Amino acid sequence: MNPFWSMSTNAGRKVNYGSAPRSDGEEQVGQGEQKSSPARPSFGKKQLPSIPKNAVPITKAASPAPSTQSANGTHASYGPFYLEYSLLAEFTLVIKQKLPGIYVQPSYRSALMWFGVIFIRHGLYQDGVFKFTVYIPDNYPDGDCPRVVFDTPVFHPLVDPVSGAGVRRAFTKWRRNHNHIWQVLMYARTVFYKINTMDPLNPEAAVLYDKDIQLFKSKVVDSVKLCNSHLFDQPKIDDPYAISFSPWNPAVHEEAKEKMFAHKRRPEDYNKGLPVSGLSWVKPGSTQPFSKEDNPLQT
Amino acid sequence: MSWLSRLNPRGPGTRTGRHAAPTSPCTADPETCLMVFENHWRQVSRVLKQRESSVGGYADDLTAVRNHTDQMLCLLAEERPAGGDIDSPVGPILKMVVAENILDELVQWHVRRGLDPDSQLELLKLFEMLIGQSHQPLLLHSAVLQPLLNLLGACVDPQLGSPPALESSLVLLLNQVCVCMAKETAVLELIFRCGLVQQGPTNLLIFSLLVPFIHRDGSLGQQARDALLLVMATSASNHSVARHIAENSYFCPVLATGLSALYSSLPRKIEVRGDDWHALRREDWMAVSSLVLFMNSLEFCNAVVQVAHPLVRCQLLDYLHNGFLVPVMGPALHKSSVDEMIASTAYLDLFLRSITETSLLKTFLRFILLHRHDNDTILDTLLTRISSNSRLCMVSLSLFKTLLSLNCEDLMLQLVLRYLLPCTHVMLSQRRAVRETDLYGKSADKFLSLIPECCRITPAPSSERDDEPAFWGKVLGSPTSESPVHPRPSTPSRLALFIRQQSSGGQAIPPSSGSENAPSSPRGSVSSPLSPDSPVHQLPDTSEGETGYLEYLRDARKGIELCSWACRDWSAPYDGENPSPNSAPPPPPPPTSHPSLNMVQEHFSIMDRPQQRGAVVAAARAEWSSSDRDSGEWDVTISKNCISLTPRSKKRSLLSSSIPLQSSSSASVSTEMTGAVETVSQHSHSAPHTALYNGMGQVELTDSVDEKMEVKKVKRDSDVNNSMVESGMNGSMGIGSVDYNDFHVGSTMKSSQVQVKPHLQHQTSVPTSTQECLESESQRLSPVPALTETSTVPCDSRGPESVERLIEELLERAPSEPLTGDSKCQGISIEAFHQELRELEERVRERRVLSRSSEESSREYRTAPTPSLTDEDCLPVEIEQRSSETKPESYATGVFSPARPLGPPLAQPYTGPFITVLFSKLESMMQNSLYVNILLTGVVFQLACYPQPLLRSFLLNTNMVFQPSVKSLIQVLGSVKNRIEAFAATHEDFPAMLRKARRFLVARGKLDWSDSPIGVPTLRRSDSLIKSRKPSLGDLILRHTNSPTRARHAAQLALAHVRDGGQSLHSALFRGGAAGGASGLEKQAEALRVKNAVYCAVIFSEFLKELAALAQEHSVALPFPPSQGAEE
Repeated sequence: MNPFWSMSTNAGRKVNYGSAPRSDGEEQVGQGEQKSSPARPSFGKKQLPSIPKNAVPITKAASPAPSTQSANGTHASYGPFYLEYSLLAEFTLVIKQKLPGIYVQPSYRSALMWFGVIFIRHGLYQDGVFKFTVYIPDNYPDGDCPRVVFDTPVFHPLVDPVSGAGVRRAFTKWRRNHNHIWQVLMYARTVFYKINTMDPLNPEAAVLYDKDIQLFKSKVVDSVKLCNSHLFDQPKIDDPYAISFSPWNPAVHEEAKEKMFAHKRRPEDYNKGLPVSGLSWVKPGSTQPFSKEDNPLQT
Repeated sequence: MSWLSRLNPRGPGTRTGRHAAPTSPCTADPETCLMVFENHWRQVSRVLKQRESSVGGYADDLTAVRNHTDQMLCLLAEERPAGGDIDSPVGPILKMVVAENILDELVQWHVRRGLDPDSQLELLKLFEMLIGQSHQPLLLHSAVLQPLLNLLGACVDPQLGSPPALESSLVLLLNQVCVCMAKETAVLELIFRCGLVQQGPTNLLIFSLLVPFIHRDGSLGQQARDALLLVMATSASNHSVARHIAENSYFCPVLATGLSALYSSLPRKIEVRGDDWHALRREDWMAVSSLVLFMNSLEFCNAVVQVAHPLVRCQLLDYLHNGFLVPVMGPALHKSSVDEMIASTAYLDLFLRSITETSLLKTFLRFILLHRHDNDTILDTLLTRISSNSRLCMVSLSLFKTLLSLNCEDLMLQLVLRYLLPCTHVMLSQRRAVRETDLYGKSADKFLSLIPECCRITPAPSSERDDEPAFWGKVLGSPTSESPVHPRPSTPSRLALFIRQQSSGGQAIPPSSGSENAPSSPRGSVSSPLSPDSPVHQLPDTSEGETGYLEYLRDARKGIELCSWACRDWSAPYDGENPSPNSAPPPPPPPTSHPSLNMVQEHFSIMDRPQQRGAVVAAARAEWSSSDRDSGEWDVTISKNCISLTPRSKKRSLLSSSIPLQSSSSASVSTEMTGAVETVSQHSHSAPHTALYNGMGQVELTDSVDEKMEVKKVKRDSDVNNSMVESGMNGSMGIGSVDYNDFHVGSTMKSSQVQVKPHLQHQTSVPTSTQECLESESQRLSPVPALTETSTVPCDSRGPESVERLIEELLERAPSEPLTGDSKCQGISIEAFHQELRELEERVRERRVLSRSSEESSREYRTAPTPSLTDEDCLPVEIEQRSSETKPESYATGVFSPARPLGPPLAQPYTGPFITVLFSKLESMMQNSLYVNILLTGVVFQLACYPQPLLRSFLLNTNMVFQPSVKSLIQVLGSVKNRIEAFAATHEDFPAMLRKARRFLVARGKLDWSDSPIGVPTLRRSDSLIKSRKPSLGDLILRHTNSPTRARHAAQLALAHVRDGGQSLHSALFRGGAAGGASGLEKQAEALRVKNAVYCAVIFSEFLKELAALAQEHSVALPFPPSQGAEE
């Protein structure tokens, strides 16, 4: 019953996204995202999307200079870099967390807007594929919790049936250094596995869940179907990096999938035959140089 | 190294022209050829049989045999293997040769007849032709191989080698044989077995014959090495042959010891062209034949290690370590003359860059890290050189850059990590923060905030920036096109600024530092050739903004990526938990990690109490003078009007001049209690106690400290009256100079304590280059009195007043340097110091003639800027006090350790000599030359690329709270910032100079310096200037008026030359003084000081951006997973 979806983004770019929704194995978040680092000179067809940075990074919505540092002194001009890098660092943390079934991708336009999709592998919402957008306040990290808005409002006690907004509730106060965006994403995933009806955004769903679980379940199934039927819709937000799905097309996706599995991350400057083979003769657990003497006839 | 590509055997016929072969009947059918061959053979055998009976030789016979043999062998060579018959694809002629053992008979005949050199040569050539051109694998037939071996045995005595006349033919033949061997592996086995039967132990004759040619130059050596390499490659899988090579041949020893021999013929002194020279590049050494020879052999070693059987490889590596590195490289690196040190360091650097084989690299690294020469590891010795004030510093920095670029865990462990492992440098509560990444750019912000105000050239106001169209939204319409609004990077990145620092000495190794590679595309726009006056050059001046920062971010990311990729197979993450701080062995305490201190300890160990001094001192002195090592072989002559330092021997040079390693963070005694400084202090013991306190006036010394001081002092005291002032040696780095000054100044110096220190900094760094001058000076001025005399000669009792004033005057200049707490470690450029020293001498002499009013000098002092003492980051006094507080412990664990072998475990955190020396060098950035600063910041950059949280947090996390005694990078930089700002405040035209310096650097970055040698001033030029610097009386007087204004004038004058951009700042500056006038010299020294400071300001600002970029990139870096086994 599950079509073999494949995701693609628009604008004809090849993407390394590919997914087997049912596989419960560990999937990497942001799989194709080798590294979103600034100043990538160009992004040709083969290039994975990353944050475009042909220009000095300035967040789109930064009407007043956002960060506090930028107020003082000359290095205020570096302010944009701080916000940019903070968000990049957040994104790096997301990647490191390897949240199962969640993929995110910062938008082309603004580092403050991330596109995401979440695959639900079991439970009431099994087979659900929910696209969402993360909006990060422009005074990050000193603002509120980033908002998660589902493209299609899924029937869920904690998802607003009209706007699709959800999750936010979990972080009443956003504390820098303590709260991270990966936590928001993880929470967004958790609510689909462990339903909580406290303080609902969708009171109907909450009541149903508590009073009539059967009806709730059927509504959920309907909602999941509805969401999935909109899967191939154009992304709501027109952005080159918005996540869009298309039916499996071997000509496009097979290659991308293979690349994805074969991918080995290398330094950008790799291939010059650098003697950077990672010299180490230290025996693990030892702090003595040349303690690893296991095979004197080493290769 | 393209050895393997050279392994391709030469195709047959490549040298047909060489050997005038008789016109061969190529087209003739095999039958005919066989008939012709048989015919020749009949003729020959007739002669051979004749000879059997008769005894005398006839020339006719020989000629006939030769002619026929020529024909026969040509036929044999031309013969194609018989087609069709697959089992024995042997041509008919070869069949006959084998059946009748024709070649053997021929050779036998020749041998019996007595081989004259001529026929030897003939035969060798014949065989070479035969083997080289044959279409059949002749050597597989013992009927060919055996006579060949017989011939070789007859021609060459394996022990004595071959006659010179035969060499080229012999090697060529052997080379051919080896080529065949590489084609037909079985040949090796055959040769081996044939030899076994005949020659016993030296059975691999072909091999043994080649060995003597390993190190030959020219094509002969190359052919021999090629051939040997073929043998190596072929025997790689043949255990018995490999064993034979390892056990019965001299291959490995010859190779290794040959390197030693070749090394000894290398130039002891490297002729340097530019004053930015710091490493041997390929174009440097290609012209030096001895170096080419050495490099060929080293490459050969590398290639052998690559292809040979493990047995052979191990043996070779052993021999290299024990036969070359330890006995030759070790002492070479410890040579006493600076030139030799420079050369050997540069050589080592070159070798390391040229080696590609991991196991060979391991051998070298092992030698550097573990081998002890005179009790110190090579690494420690090399470390101390960084603190020198000469080119040695640059060469050493370059070497460490190479070392760092290896990304070797063992090295990093020894160099830095082991000191950070116990985590004692961080507050206990902060240990967890070691792993934290700087999520919000706070560290970057901190680094950027240290850019001195005076170096920020009117950035665009932030309101304007909002109007700039450069942000994401703008590019939306055309995502694939380069943004047209991408601003040209206006700040030169490291590449632009530092492009000339590239040094790809190793031929096969591209510069491994990502930041200094060839320009990547984005920079193409920057590096377009522009005339210096082009408007684009104005950009750095006008729109200094955030744009160049992108380049730094890119560089930083590349550096970090490469580094973390290279480190992915390390045994541990070094994140403060693994390896566990508790299980980590305590790192060596500060002093023992320092060579010169070790040396000190050696002397200490026998004399730990003052009472014993008398006897011990004499012994120590004797030991010193006789010792091979660098030790205090300086004589100080202090007479009424002259102080001279006389190096006792040529040893000693560098160590003595190096500035102290320990900064106040470890607050241990420094290390550099040797040489000039040391001896100066020896004599100064006769100075009043109070004076000696000056350097550290505020320090309250505890008893224990005093005691330790004593111990330390024993050495310095060695031959002088020893009842003096232990407390005076309060562990300041500047001790020597403190005493030096105090000696003259006397007790009245107390009032000017504050000024003492900055000045002392200069004095601590007695530059080696001045030694010769000093020597000559002293010889000229005064006889060197015996030591006993010196010790009793009191300071000039008649002129304390004037001397005192003189010192004061000298000190007055000091305040122009901002005062900071850790300034002890500061050095000044050789030239400047030399100048000062000279002056001091001169002035002492001239004192009587010339009296100056002290009022004037005091007035000058008052006008000098008061150093800022309020900066929160690096409050000098506070630091001073802090460090002085911690001193006792440092001593206890450090200096004193030999005397108290069972001292308590190290309590004081010590971040290691490498960090210490880098930091102290950074602290003296203002005095460093431009090139030193470029190299230095490059090394720190590379160090900061390492992703290990321990290292990263120590260098880049500005939020970490360290133990009070641990100096952080940010503190060091803060003090530099203050100095720069103080300097700028005293120089009105600082902005203009800064702009010019920046312009020069940008232009320099764009300039391909190799094709404009004129623009690069030679070192010799400045050298000669230094030597010719003999300040006259007028000069000395003028010197008193030394003031910011004067400096400004000098700088203006110098910088004026740069205005048209065609001149390098350097040549402009140096030319200014070339006239040789006294005032010119004066200006020159001042101009140099100004120049260094201005350049420093530029480099410093860029360096801070680099560090900020690194901090930011680290926070977004993703680690690489460890490679599973072999990663291509």
